[in-house]
Amino acid sequence: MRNNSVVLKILFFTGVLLLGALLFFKYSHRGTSTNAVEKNEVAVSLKDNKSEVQPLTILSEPKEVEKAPAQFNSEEQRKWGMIQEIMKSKNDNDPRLDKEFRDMTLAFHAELFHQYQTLPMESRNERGLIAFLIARDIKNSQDMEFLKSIYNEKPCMSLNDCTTTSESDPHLAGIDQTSVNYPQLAALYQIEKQLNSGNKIFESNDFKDQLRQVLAHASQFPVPMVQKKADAIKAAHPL
Amino acid sequence: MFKTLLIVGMAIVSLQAMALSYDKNVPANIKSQMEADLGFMNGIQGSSQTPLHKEIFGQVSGAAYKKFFESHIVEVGMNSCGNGMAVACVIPFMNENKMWLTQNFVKFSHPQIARLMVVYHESRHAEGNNGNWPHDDCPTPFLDDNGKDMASIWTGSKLEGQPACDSTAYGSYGSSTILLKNVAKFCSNCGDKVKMDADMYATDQLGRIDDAKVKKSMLADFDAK
Ligand SMILES: [Zn+2]
Repeated sequence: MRNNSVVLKILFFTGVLLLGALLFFKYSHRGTSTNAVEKNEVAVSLKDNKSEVQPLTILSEPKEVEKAPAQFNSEEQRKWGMIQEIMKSKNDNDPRLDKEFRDMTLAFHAELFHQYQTLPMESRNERGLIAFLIARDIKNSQDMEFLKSIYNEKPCMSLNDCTTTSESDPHLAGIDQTSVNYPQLAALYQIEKQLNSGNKIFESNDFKDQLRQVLAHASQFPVPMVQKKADAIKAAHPL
Repeated sequence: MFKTLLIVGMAIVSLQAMALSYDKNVPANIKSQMEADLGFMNGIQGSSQTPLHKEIFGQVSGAAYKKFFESHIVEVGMNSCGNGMAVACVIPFMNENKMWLTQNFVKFSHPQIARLMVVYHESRHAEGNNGNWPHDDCPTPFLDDNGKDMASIWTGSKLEGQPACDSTAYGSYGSSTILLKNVAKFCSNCGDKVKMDADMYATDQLGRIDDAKVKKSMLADFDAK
């Protein structure tokens, strides 16, 4: 009994000391925050994803997983699986995007064109990722035709449903407007980067002509922020 | 006794891992997306930063962004944030250190940088000692560089007179512009897409600075080293 009592006292004081140290650590890092954590809320770490609520329907996810085309060689199949995985992960900083997708085969490009068409219109980030990958790796006239086709699309009017408008709160409506035009903007930002870095492909008269057409289509896209970007590129890089 | 010590130890370790406290009704996929997005920010490495970034956030580094965020936000809950398109908000009169997320956080296909920009914009509104950095009313008329009304593309709603502008570089629009411009310029472990996105979305936030002198000083800051 006596031994137990001593042990309990030691445990009690150890607990108090550790709790004190913990609280000091926690609140000394909190700056302006003074609110205590309520007891009925759960603490989570990265590994703790349990919840009583069922996952939401994600508008942006492809309806079915894009299988690798049968004609792909093993390397293309490996990369196809990889790009599908990256799109699904929503991790835009996956280092494989820069390591594995800078120099893609023509067959891979063609399959990306196809996937772009089959993705829901509301998949703005995924469609924009494809536009970005192609514009960064322009190889032939099919790529230029694909880029031109992006500016022939009907503009997306809302992240919720591209075919109808939604009233945004002016406070952060600019973000929605940038995201609904993301594929069109991503292609332009990449074209601008290629021109700034002096991509030799645009030294050819054929490519110059095709680029002129892409930018002309972008200038006609019925959204001012896209037109403005296209016009700025044309002004900075007379072709 | 060892069992008791083990329990005490485990409790302490789990409390230390408690970076954010999530309400029970935050769906698992929203929680994991928020953690993944913050995890990306917390891992950023930078080669330099502009003077305004240094003043507000410190270095371009995950450690600085983590410190900033955790000194502003301690709890996360679910809310409609007052409109059908919102992704996240801070509602100071309810709890200025709580970030509210909406279902759109995972429902809409925003680039990761766009979600993070909203999160950091809203975090700045958690500063009670700065009056929560309220926005000022956009001027009437509020025109873009081409002399056209700043307005919603499709609904035509004008921004003039709306509380959706800042006349300081230090408010939510200014600080998120500065954050993104620095990520675009100095992040050494960000990929091409992230840097492109950071630059793209910063342009939107910069457009809400309605004081020409302030905007000019911000542009000069981005060119500074
Ligand atoms: Zn705000």
